Amino acid sequence: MILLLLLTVQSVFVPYIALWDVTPDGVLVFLIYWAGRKERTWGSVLGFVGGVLQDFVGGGTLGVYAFSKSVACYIAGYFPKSRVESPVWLTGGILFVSAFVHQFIYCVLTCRKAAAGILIMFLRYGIPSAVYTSLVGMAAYGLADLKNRRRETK
Amino acid sequence: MAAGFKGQWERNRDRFVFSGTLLFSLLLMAFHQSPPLLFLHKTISGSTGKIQEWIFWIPRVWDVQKKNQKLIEQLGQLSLQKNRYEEVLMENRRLRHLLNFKERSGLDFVAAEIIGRGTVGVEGSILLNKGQNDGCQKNRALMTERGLVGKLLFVGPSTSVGQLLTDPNFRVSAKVQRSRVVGIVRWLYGNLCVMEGVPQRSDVRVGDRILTSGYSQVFPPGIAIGRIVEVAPEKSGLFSRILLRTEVDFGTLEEVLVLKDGPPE
Repeated sequence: MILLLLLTVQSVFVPYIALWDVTPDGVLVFLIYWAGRKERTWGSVLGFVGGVLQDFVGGGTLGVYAFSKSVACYIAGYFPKSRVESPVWLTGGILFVSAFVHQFIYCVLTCRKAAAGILIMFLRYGIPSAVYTSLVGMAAYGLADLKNRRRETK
Repeated sequence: MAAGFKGQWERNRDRFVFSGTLLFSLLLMAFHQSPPLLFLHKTISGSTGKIQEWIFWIPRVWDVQKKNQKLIEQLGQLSLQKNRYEEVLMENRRLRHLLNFKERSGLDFVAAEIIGRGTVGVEGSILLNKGQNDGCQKNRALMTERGLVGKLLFVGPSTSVGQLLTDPNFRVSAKVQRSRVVGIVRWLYGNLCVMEGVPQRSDVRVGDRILTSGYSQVFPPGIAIGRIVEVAPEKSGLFSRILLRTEVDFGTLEEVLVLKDGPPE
């Protein structure tokens, strides 16, 4: 349910914060945050479920998001589970690597027939989107961390 | 065998699951055009699309507000433009009337634009954008196609000052068009003038047209001044008190014709 809500937010509201046609992937931020709190096995499952939902909600080829998000979340699962409490730069780094891989796979799977070619599309949209996603993720994780600390203090 | 598999599973569970997710993803990609998947895809994206449509009003309100702001700005600009066009159109119409009058009357005029008005209480003077260089001379009649406006008081090289009919010191010799009765016209207030020196028994009626008499050297005969709106006996009992409304609306005056012909300065 949260994922569906997030997907709606992603498709309705995120375009409003687009910079040069590049949008952050809020779903990936959420999935990686969630996967980080579960066992490693869950990472790819969550990525897959989130990706499949995104595939079905969106109008693209089925399985593309499922595949790329599974891999991204699996990679994120290799890092320590307590990343929410890690320094911001580490959190951002993990998110960037995952988003980078996600964007790369996504570009390879969807831009094969693009006139500009996969590489150009990846450079123009993939990498900026990965950077934007990691920045948004860092802010979101920072807020979540702050909330957790306050709860612990109480 | 089973124990071996269980051990393998325990050790590499995450890899198995990961491989499974990839396999499922690949299967989805491979069969994404199959009818059941297509149906599912259409149904899910259709129903979530409806939800998105409902939620979409939130940014749409914001969007509408922004668009509204832009439209208001555009409306303001267009309104200004429209006003400018209307101004040009009206100016064009006025100038065309002046031109027609110039052709019909056979008199030689210079068209001048009013670039300033007297700033003292009673605005009886106007500043024109034409002067000696344009053939203007002192005491030349000022008029529009509708009628008499006044006369030139001072003439500079490129500008001149005109005295309006609505100046308290302005006098003009006039006659009633129908009966040829002669009198002196001077301004009363607003667009009303009074015609003096007309004996009580003279043939003067409300609605009669008053023109310049031509007895003065300044104004040629036949320039319209106004129409009689009231005729009453004066207190002295000798003359009539004749009120006339000027033909020219002095409040909306923007251009005038300066008569080139006239008495020497």
